[in-house]
Amino acid sequence: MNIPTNKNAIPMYLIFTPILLVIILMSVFVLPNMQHQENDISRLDMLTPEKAPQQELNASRVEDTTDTIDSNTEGGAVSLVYSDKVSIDISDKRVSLYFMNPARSNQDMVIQVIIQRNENEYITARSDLIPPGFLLQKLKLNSVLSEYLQEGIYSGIFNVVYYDPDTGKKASVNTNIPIEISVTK
Amino acid sequence: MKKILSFILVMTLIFSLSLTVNAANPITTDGGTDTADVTATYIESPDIFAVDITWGTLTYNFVETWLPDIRANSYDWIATEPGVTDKITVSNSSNVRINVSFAYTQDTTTTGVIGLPSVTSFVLNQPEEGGTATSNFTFLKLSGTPSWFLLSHTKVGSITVTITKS
Repeated sequence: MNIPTNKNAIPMYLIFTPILLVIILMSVFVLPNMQHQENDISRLDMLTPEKAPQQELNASRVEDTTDTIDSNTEGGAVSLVYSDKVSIDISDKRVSLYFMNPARSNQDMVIQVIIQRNENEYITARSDLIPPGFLLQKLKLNSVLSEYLQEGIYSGIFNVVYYDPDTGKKASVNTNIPIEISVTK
Repeated sequence: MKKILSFILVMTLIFSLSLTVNAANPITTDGGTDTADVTATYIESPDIFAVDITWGTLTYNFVETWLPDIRANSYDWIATEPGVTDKITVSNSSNVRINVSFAYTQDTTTTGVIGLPSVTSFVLNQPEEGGTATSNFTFLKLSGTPSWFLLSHTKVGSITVTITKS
């Protein structure tokens, strides 16, 4: 008995070979680029913007009734209250710190938490805008850095950048504060 | 079985009671007294940094002056209000002594302008309890020739104030 065959049917290898080729090409070229772009975005997010960013969601308002700083000029006046000890929990991807922009300041602030090692700087976290009267105690760890960070005690700095609350313009003055960063898993 | 369980329970209760009795110093006579030590531990405050920084507008004029004698221009940097707009003051209300230093960084677009703080660093002692904050100041002077002369409220640089525990 003869089994009827469709001589016009396209061979299976002609269907699957191009699909397989597309998958291989995507895995080689497209997906790594997407990952690269994502990393670039993460890096850019860590820099301090020229214009004031949105308000930091992790910052909480604190009771502060002290007078504003006596400043005779139209420049800036800031007050910084902080601890120079910072901890990073890699598993939680969380940076714990104590940093307050007291209500007596007349500038908004953005803070970077930076590890310094072998003359290189690694931005572990960056806040959004901290207005006067707000306290910051946690930040999300830089997703790129979290993959490479090892347990230990590191030297680092807070880099504090100031913004005019009315114009959102970055001030010509910034502050560096040496800190100690302990990293745990 | 019930008897065994009851025995274990009773023994457990007796044991726990005996612990309590042993831990106390019983008063056995009428009008007797007992004493207990009250202990205290000094917990020192952690380092709390509280620093105020004020600065003037940090605005300058790059002034060109024609000198007929030598038939040439001279150039000078002048703060818009010398002694006020170029002043940076730092006050310490921390419970530690701090070192304050100043470093000027040229802008990457308009280069050639050099910033020189009149005092590049100073130490601010921890203020006395109940006293006023310790403070000091510097004036930022500019010099040099900018890469671009037609300046109009153009950013020429920035200054970093570094606060270190001293």
